[in-house]
Amino acid sequence: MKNWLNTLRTLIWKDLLQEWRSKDMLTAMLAFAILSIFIFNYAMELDPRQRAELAPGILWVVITFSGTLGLNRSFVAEQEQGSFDALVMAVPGLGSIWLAKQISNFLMMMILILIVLPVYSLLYNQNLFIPGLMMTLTLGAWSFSAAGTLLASMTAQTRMRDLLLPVLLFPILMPVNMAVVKAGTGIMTGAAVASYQVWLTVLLVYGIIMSTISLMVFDYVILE
Amino acid sequence: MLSWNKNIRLLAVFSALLILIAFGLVLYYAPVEQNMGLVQKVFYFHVSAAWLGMLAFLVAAVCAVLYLRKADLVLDAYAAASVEIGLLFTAIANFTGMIWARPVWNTWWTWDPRLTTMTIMAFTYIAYFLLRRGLDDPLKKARFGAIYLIIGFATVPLTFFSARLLRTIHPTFFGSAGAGEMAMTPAMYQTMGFSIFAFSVLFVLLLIVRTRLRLSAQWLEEQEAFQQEEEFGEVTSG
Amino acid sequence: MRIELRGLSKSYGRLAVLKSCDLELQSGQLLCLLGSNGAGKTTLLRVVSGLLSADQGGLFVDGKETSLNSAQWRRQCAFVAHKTYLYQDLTGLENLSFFSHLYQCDFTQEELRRRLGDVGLARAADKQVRAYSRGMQQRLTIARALLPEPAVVILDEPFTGLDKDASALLVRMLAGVKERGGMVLMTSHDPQAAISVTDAFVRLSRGTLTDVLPVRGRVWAELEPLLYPEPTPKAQAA
Repeated sequence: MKNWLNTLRTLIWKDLLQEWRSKDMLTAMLAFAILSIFIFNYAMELDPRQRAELAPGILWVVITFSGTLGLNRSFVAEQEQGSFDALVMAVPGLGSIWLAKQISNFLMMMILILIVLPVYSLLYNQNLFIPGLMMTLTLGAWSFSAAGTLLASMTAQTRMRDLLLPVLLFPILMPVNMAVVKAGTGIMTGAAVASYQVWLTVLLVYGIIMSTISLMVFDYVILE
Repeated sequence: MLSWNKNIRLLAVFSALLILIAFGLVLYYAPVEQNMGLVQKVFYFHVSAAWLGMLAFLVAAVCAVLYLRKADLVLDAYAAASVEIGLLFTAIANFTGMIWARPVWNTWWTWDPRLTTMTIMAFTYIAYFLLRRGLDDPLKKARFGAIYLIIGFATVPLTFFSARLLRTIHPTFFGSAGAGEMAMTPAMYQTMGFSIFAFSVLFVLLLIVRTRLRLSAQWLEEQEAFQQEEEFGEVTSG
Repeated sequence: MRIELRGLSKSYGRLAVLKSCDLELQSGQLLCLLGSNGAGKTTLLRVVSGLLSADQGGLFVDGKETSLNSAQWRRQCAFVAHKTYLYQDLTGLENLSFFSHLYQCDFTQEELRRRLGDVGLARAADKQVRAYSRGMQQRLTIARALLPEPAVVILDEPFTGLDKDASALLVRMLAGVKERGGMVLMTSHDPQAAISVTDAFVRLSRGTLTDVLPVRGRVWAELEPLLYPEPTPKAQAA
């Protein structure tokens, strides 16, 4: 168990160090996210009275769309020089490769969220740092990266690569999208906790199911 | 490999007969519903098709799990064929639903959660074929396809559960019925049951035929690759 | 230590790439696989390293059957392939440090720097791999592969792209592996390069291991006609 955790830590450290060096993923994700916020402003003519209700939906769309850009890049280093093989040969358990990548992707999503939230708050003069909303987005980000990491590991090996990931990912993410938006709207409009609690449960259940399945099937993605 | 024998032909005739009888029952046996009138009759095939769509995706998911354990390409052919048929039935369910919705809801399409989730489910399985098309190695195709079917099927119940949480105007046929539901008479239930049975037999027939077709196509492809390799081999070893 | 591979077979669909290959390797031995393109050399190496599962056949370590697909076996092997397996955005030192942590060898930074010095990369240790030349990357690849002192070192065309110095370095390192009781299995289009450390040549022809030619202290001039017999008249005509 201790070995396993050490392996996990080493793998995550490598991903973060690599991202720190190149900053490929984060810069693209952030630029896209902030641009999308501007586009939404013009597309929807956001009315101040509607903003509170719409904010979680717009935020989530911005976060998942830019997150998909990041996911597409997340296996590039492994793909480029074939180091998947080296990892497979080196680690004691193959599941750790998936879990480490999933945690790295989750951390990227959290960094994205932590930058997008203040920007949105600033631009629309609306405080989004509400603990409930933060929790919802965190749960959402976990579910998103759980499903996304597994699918990205497969699409990275296809001919169409980046084109394919959103097409595969978004239908699978449907419950997450509904839950984040519904729970977020409930929180933003100050509804009673009981009215949106069930959506948080949906998020939790989805995260657990997706992580479990991924750990179980990941061997089949990398072993031939 | 499955052989094209008398039994399949028999099954085809049997299933055609059942569908015809189901038509007869719907038209002449089942009474006309009081509130909606004749258009309600489309509902027998609508529910059957929707039901079979789900069944097909379940069969595909089961084949996917088995494939990952046994790595037998026949199971993969069954899974892919089942998804194809599932998509077909889902499309039928959607179109019959539209025919019904036009007079009853006064619109072809509403953003009712049940409709949207059904469509999203269809997209999941369309994406399955896109994933397969993106891969050349047949084993990888089968493996990745199986994984996608498993996670796709795992999210479908959650999607449906979420849809139920949102307010829906769609009639619920199974389970608790709210206000304004259609009143079902025994004759209606019998017709319903029979058309589900008829569609199920049709599903089995289609599954066998499509799987056979897939296996034949695969065999042919391998045969060609094999011959090319033979020729290539002769050149290099010479 | 002594490993035996018995009856390894692998096919893609109907295309048999390996046909019941048997191979024996002992501590301190180096085997060089020869064969034309598409003979199945890379497939064989990937099967032995546990990256690709065989359809049939098994591995016996000191007479005891061991799974080729276990993490335990894979961690005893090192693989040097066409791709470098290096992380381009990390420095040479960080690449080594990363893999030393994965293998739980936990070498100190000084030890890792010494290893880099051994392959002539002391001054490039803190540069990103992206800035390395192809030859430097190959040197780092070799240092990385030999880092955990693997029992079996598997190399796929390791001399490709190496200059004279680097080739000599690789031969020295392979001699080192043999000295400490490791085994080496490699393919090469330039069998002469490693002749001084090679114990035997094995020919792989269209998926079958055909003949074994022990070196037994013979020099290249004696071996060459045995390895490359005169082309047959038919081929000449072609």
